[in-house]
Amino acid sequence: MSCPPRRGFAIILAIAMMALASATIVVLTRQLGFEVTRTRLAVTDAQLRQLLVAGGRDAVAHAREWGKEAGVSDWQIDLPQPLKTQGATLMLGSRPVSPTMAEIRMDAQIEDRKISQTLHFSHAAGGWAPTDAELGR
Amino acid sequence: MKHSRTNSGPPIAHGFVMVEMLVVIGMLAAVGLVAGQLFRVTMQVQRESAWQQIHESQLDQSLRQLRTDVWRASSIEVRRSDAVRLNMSNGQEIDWEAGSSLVRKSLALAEDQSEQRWNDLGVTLAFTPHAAGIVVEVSRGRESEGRMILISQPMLLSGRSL
Repeated sequence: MSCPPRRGFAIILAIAMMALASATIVVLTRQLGFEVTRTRLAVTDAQLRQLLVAGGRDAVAHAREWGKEAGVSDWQIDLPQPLKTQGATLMLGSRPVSPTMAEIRMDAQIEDRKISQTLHFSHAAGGWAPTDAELGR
Repeated sequence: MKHSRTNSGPPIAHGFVMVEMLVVIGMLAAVGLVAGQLFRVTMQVQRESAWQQIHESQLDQSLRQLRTDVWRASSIEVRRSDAVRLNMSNGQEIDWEAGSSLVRKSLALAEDQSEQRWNDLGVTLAFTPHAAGIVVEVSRGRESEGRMILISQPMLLSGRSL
C-alpha cells in the first residue's frame, strides 16, 4: 500500500513545529549556560576578594614589623587545605616607594582567575599605617 | 469518503464528505493555533533572553566599578538611599547616584571619563551605610533581588569590623 500524497503537508508542519521548539530550547540552554558561568565566576571572585581581605590583615601585621625603613620581601600565605585543593594561592610583595611611603602588592589566584591589590602605607610617628588600597585585575 | 460502485470492480473515491472536511479543518485550526503560540513564545524568549543578557552585563560592569571605588574609599557618606559619596585618601571624591539610571561622577580631572552612566540595568539600587563599607540592595520593581556588602579596604584595615 503506497502513502497518500497528502502526508507531505503534515510532515512539513511537524518539521516546522520541531524547528520552533528546538530554537526555544537552544535559546533557553544558552541563557542557562550564561547564568551558570556568571554564577560560578561570581563565587570565585568573592573567594578571591576574601583572600585579599586576609592578605590585607597579613600585610598590616607585616608592616608593623618594619622599622624606619620599609623592607623589600616576597612571601606567600599558607592557605587552608580546601582552598589549596582548588589551586588557590596568595602571594605578597613589599617595596619602599619613598622614605615615608611603601606599598605591598598581593596577588590572589584560584584556578585561572586572578585578582590583585596594592596597599599603600605611610610612615608616621606611630609607625607604618595603611592609607590607600587599589584593586586591580 | 463518498464511493460509487461500478458494475465490475472496487468502489472509486469521488471526493470528501462534509464530516471529513470539518475534521480536517478542525485539526488544521488546532495545529495552526499551537504553531502560532509556539512561534510567539519562541520570539518572546529570544527577545527577552537578549535583553536579559544586556541588563546583566550592564549590572555586572557597573557593580564591578562601584565595588572597585568602594574598595579604595577611605570614608563613605550615604547622602540618600539612592546617592552615596566616596572619599578617597588622595582627596578625590566620587558620587554614585542610582535613579532611573546609575550614574558615577568623579571629581578628579585626571580621569578620562568624569561621568559614566548605565541606563539598561533593569533593576534599582539602594545604598545603606555599613561599618566597613556600604550595603547595596538590588530590587526589581517592588521585589527585592538581594543585597550585597561592598567593603572598603582602608576602613576595614583601620579596625572597623565587617
